[in-house]
Amino acid sequence: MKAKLAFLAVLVALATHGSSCIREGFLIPVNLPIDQCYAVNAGPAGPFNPTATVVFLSPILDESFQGNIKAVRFYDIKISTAGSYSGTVVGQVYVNNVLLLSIGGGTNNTTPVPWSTFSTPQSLLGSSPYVKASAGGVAVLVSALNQLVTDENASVTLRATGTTAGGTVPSGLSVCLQVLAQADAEMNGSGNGVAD
Amino acid sequence: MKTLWAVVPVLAVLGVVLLFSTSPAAAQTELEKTLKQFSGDAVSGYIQPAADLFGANLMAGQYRTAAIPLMGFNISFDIVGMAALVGDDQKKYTAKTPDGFAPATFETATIFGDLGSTVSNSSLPSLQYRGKDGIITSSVIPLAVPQLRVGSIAGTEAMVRFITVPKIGDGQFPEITLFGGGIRHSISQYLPMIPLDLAVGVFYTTFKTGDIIDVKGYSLGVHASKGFALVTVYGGLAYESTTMKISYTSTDPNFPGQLVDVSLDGANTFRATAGLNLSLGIFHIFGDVNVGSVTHFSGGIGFGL
Repeated sequence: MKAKLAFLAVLVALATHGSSCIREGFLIPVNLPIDQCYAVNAGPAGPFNPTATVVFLSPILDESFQGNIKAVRFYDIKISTAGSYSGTVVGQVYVNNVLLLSIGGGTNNTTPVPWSTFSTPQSLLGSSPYVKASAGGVAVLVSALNQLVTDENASVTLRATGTTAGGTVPSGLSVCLQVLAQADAEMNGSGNGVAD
Repeated sequence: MKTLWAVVPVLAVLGVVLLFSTSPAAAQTELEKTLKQFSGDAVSGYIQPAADLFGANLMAGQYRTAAIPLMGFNISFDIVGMAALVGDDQKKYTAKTPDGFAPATFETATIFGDLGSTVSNSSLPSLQYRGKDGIITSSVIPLAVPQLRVGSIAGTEAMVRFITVPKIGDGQFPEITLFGGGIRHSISQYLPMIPLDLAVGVFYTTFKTGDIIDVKGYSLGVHASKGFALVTVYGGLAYESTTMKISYTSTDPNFPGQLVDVSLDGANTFRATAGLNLSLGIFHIFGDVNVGSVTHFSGGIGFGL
């Protein structure tokens, strides 16, 4: 019994003294990948305009990190296509109805390019000539992501539109968007955060 | 004595808690969740200093004299404490940014460091990447182990260390097991003209916590000592090798589902030891300093011959 009491006493001491050697409120940037795909209607080539999707950010995180976010940033956006198609595509991605990306060729990324161009993901970090970010859209994205700091129900609305050209569009085609972001989760915090 | 047996394993665990826990009450679960954010490349730099310091501690405090009786039963029980100092060069490391990011590397905090650094992409400054904050603020990493020494046959003795702490709570405190064993042999029995006690020793240790971290190490050493009434001056040279293995599945979206299986070699491969042992009958107090790639100290109390 004495031994167990001593053990428990030292555990209590550890819980206090030990935690004083652990940085209070340290931040761990956790991965916050936002993945969305937008279907391209099968049939004659032409415009596609799938319904916008509302992505709630908090559920993407592990439960223990939710509610403890102190900052959010993104470090890349990737565009890829799913399915085979012999025609061309040009498109745009919108965040909260503001233009975020122009997808295509040419100076302003408004020239159609082969669908297969995006079989390999094209990204901002990869300096892809087929993906161009809009400053206004980037600002909206950053602002929307950082709503997660104060609002656990924060969301971003994403929409991809575009136009195909060439042969008949087969079924199963989609344009996929991946936003690679980090959310700084506070650990060992005094208020919110994981229990000490 | 029973009380001591209860306290020692918890003291031993203190070093583990400091190194591998975000807080004592939420040890393994939070560590696993934190580590899983790393890809295999990234985790090495962040955790390497922990492998260096913990590995050095594991290999310390193996002896307090080189005098080993030729024959006869002798036994001693020691409680050995170790402390490794956290150097400034162990608080930062050069981390990689995601592929295509410019700059390709940046300096940020290790597990012992300060705040993590944020770096902006040179051509697209709106793209940013951040390193993890340091977790441990202590400048000293401790460890303590109970140690039993039994001999002697033909100037040879055996030594063993063992701690096991069962899982406590609902996944709060992981199961921890430390086991070490070694053999020492007297060399001075063959060299009676040398006015010193000399011995050689080999030692092996393992340490495991939860499912994610496994440390193993061994050392080969030469020990020397000279007794002066109540005081024994001792020292030695040793070659050692420790490896910390970390295994988990990464959640880094750049490496989806990556099984991370990283082996981190401890920086300390050679040590020089110098220490003093004070003997008061069967009671001993000892302490030494160890110099190598990692500077650290060990010491303790012992009972026995």
